[in-house]
Amino acid sequence: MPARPVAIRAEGLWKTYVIHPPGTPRRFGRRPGVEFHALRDVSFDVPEGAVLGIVGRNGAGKSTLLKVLGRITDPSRGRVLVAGRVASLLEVGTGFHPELTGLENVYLNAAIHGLKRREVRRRLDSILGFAEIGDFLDEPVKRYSSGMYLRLAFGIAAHLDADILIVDELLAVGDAGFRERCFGKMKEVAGSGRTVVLVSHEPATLRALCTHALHLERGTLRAAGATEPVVGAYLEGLATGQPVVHVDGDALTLVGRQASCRAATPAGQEVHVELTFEVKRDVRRLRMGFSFEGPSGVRLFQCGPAPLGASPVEARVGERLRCVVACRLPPLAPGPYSATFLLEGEGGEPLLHVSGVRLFEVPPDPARPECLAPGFRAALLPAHTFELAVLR
Amino acid sequence: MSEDGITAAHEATFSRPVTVLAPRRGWRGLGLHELWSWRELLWAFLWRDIRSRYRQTALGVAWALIRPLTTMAIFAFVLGRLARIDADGQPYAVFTYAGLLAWGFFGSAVQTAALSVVHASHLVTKVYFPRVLLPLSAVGAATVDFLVAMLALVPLMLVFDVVPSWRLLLAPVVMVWVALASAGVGILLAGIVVRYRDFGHAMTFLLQAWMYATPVLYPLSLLPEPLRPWAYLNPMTGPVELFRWCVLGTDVSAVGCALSAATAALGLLAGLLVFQRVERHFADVI
Repeated sequence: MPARPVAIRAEGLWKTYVIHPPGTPRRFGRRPGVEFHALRDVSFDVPEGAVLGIVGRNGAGKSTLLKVLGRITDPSRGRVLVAGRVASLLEVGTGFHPELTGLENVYLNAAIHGLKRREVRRRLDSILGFAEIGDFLDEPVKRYSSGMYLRLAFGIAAHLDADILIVDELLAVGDAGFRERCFGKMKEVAGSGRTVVLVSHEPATLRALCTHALHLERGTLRAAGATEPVVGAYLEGLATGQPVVHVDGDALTLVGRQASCRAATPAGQEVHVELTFEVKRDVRRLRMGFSFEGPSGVRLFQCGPAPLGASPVEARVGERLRCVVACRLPPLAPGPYSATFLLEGEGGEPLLHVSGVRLFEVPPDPARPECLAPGFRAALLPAHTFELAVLR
Repeated sequence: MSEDGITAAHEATFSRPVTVLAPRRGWRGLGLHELWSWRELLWAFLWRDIRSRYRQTALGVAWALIRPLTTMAIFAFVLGRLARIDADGQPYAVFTYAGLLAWGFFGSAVQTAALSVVHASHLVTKVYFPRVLLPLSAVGAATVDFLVAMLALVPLMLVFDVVPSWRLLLAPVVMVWVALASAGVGILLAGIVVRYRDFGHAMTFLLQAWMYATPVLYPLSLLPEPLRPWAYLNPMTGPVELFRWCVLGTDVSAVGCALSAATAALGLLAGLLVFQRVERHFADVI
């Protein structure tokens, strides 16, 4: 079988920044620099038509890698070969000018991504169909709701027709319906032989979209290959490690965490989780989402995102928020259990988004040795029957 | 790993034209070919700058007229009436408006071009395009203001009994000249300001000093004789003098203009070279 054509080939990429850590003595009024390697000798190939998900903790070099691939910054050493036209969507609506109308911004934004006017005109109906902004087309975008803004921006992005699309957390915004549509569009793009490189912190997104994954850890390539083994191993590493802070908008901090899991009946366990947050600045229209994850990142259930208490909830500086989740679950497989939570303020602005918050560990059950086998990836151990028979 | 695994060691085959992204070192070409392929973005930026500049203003594009006219009125009163500068026998108002038109174009083009990259940091760190388009479009937007300000010239000439002649048809030459001269200085400054914001702060008075060093408000004949040839080393002396010739038919030195044009061309080349040298670090230091 002939090898698939390559869309991106990275060869020994390094990216080195000079940083000036506080504490080092000043010389001539400046601190001497210290080298910091954001990427260390990263090499990989991405075949055409692949959707590559990049995973790693904050500061692992994911964004730097995207910037190198998107030609925004040069690598310090090594090189990348990219086949065809590249479009980087590191932000929603890059270059939108608030004073210009929606239509004007379509042309501007498309030109910034290298599209010709003639090409935009041909796709205009399709872009506007996706954006659904109707009568607001000739209004300046500063009067748009955040949803309209987002739809217009993504509408353009989806029609860039680049051979390689570089996406940073784009799907982390917007309401569920919109995300669903973006999802569909991304799959469509990938299905048409184009290549997508994306960064996401959402295991569900990665698993649903990606054909390949790449795991970065402090600038080095930890693993690369098919999605499941790479993402699974990454999540497993997360579950045993520190929580990952995706967004920390200085409005709220987690100050208390209590969790318990006790066998209530032979058929079930009581899980009780209590999270306490301190409010550091006034927030309105608070919403919260909570999800509960088992070993290797398996999501067991999710609550919300929903308004807290009676809507709209306001919280003032110095007040505390408490989130209590109680449920009864079938017996749990041994391993670490953690939570992800997301607190949003007005207009869906993320205030605090943390995953991998350790709750408790379920000890191995000697009666269930299969749970310790390497291929075991489940979180629930319900009473069940399992039969294997030869039929003659 | 399987044949479509992403670390597969097979010989890479590409089905599309390949771009190599590697560390850029040393002096490189000006990349004019690539610039040409991005010309549509230049129009888009230009158009954005023009459309957005006078949005939500009551007087709109009239500001492009009001600014040079009031400046002219102030100088005509202070220098023409009170200090009684001799404008080689020409009406001072027309004389200085011509100078201020050319200089105003240069000054605002340089100022906006120099800050264009810093002001577009949200673009520079998010998407690739030839960065030099930013200062170029700033110069383009200043050209539009210049053209609008030109509209007041002919009425002003008629008021002061200056008969427009065929020489006025050569004004576009001056326009292109000033555009290229300001592009050179603007591009150079835009490249430097990204790392050293000091130049952004210093620019206002640098430009002011430069204006007084250029015969904008006074005729070149006011300079001591031995200094005059040197004045043409200033890339703006040539276009200011030539523009006056277009409007008023005053004397102009052909050799001097050639010298001025040469320094402007040199400035443009230097600006482009320095810019391509520093632009590779923009995303990291901006």
